Amino acid sequence: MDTLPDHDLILRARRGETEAFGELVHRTQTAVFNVCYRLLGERREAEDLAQETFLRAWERLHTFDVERPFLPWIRRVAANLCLNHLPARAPDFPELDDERDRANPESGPPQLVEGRQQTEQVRVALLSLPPRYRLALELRHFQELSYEEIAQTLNRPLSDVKSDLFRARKLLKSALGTPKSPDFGD
Amino acid sequence: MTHLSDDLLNEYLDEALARESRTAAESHLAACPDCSARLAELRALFADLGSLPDLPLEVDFAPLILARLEQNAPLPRPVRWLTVVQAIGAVLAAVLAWPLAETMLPAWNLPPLQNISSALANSLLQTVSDFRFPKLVFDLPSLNLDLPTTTLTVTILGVALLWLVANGLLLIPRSRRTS
Repeated sequence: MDTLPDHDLILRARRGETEAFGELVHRTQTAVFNVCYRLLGERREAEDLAQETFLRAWERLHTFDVERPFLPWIRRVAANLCLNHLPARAPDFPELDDERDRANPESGPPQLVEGRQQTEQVRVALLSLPPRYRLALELRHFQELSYEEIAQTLNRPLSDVKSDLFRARKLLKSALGTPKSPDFGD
Repeated sequence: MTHLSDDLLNEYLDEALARESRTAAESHLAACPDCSARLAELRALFADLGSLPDLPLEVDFAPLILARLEQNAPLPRPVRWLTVVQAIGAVLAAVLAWPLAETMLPAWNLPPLQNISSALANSLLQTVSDFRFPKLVFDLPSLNLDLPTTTLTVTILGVALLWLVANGLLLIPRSRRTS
């Protein structure tokens, strides 16, 4: 089963072979979890939403175009699920403390430490953004959707998508403490 | 010199500019250190996001997902037996309800079945042109019941009880019945 291409696994899963779907879960679960984590910022919640993503995908597998790659599709399902979940959750909070404890950025060779600290800074800065800006960055930078595709996914005007994305980048740059360059407006 | 706007720099890096605008932007960037510096900052931000590694997953979802999918798989044996019980309950309810229906509904003046079949046998067109719906005599149900009141009450309660039990079980979500 683990040697079969995604395409074959999807066809088998559509016929009701749960084992084939299990292999697809195995292959894509880290990516799906990370989509949820980047949007929610909380490991337990991200794990729950990632599982919900796969259950949703199983129900909607018949709508998936098997000629297209599976990973982008499942990642988009995850983003949509988080998008619907965000308004219902508790007030936004970037809680990364437990993650910092797990991968202590202060330990290891200096170059590695620096790299980890940089990664940690980006992650914290990302999670400090309002959810809508996080979502714009997720869809553009991590899922590599075009402006039009993001607008379609979020069912929002193209101008709003661009505005959110550019504003998100500005806020992220500011959160990362990048030296301020002259602002020439929009 | 008019500097490039932030939006234009964003669109430039997103490769969302039309060819002409892109060429114009490149010409400006080649001659303007300020805009080049702003572009470099934005490019660095893109690189930061692009190099963000995936967090490792601490649990394997596959067995959890499969277990949850199994819950919605074919019903287990006890639930299938429950369905048989429900069916028997429904039939029993219908049998109990029959005397009640007979009492409350007047007899229908239907023509004999053989008359209808012979009429149908003549020809399709003839049947279609000549067919008349049999006159149905239907009076509103009267309350002149022959059954003693107690028998009627017991019958109604029995039917209602069976109906509630049978349909109540059917209405329980499958996920709860299987868990």
